[in-house]
Amino acid sequence: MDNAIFKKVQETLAGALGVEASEVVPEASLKRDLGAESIDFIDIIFRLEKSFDLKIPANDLFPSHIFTDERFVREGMVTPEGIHELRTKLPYLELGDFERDPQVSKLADYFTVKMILRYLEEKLGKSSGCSDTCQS
Amino acid sequence: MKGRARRLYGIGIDIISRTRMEAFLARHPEMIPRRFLNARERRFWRTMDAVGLAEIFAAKEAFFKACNEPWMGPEGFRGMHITRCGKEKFNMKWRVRNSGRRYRGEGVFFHDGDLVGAQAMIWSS
Repeated sequence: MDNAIFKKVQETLAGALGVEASEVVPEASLKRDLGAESIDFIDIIFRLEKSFDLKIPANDLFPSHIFTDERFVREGMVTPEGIHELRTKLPYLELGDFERDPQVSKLADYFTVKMILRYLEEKLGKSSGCSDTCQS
Repeated sequence: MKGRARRLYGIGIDIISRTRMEAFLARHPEMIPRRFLNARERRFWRTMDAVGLAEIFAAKEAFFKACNEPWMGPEGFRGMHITRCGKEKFNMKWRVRNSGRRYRGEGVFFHDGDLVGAQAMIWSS
């Protein structure tokens, strides 16, 4: 994990969510653990763009194109094709046990600090050790 | 003759703190109109205050829930169109991009101290 990126992400998320920086750990779920609501997700995107001087296209972190496609989401559940699409288009998102009960409304629980770190490391072209280091 | 009964397809409710919206507005004055509002809403941007923006936000969040669609981020917000009907009521429509799904609904705003809220309903007949 790139420490400089992690520090910046920690500060950004702590500022956006009104939590202590120490609570912003890689495994923390933005919604479940840090209490992020929808306005916070938008605030986080805008803050990250400023902090890292980059543009984060909406679909990069929030896969709305998958949600609107009936091949991928049917009756509120992500289909196997949708799971495959998520893995392909959002490789930094760790789905964990999501496949067991793939309710689309629960997907946001899997948006973690680590997901943001992995995304930024890839976007900024840093070699990512996060996928290994953060697993444990 | 009896008319066809209206059936409630979905209902959604959302509240947001005006203070939270003021902070969001102060921090991202250039990003909000560009990334968050649609072309129609941008026309009123210069005169929009935190309460007005909170109403738009709450109405769209409530409408997402009434439609039973997953949250789609700024993309989803921009696609929804609100028409105010007086101070407290609104109509909404949304054509979900890249899908055949279209929704029309109505709702009301409410205010309670620091909170700004909206309730949206979609009826089918």
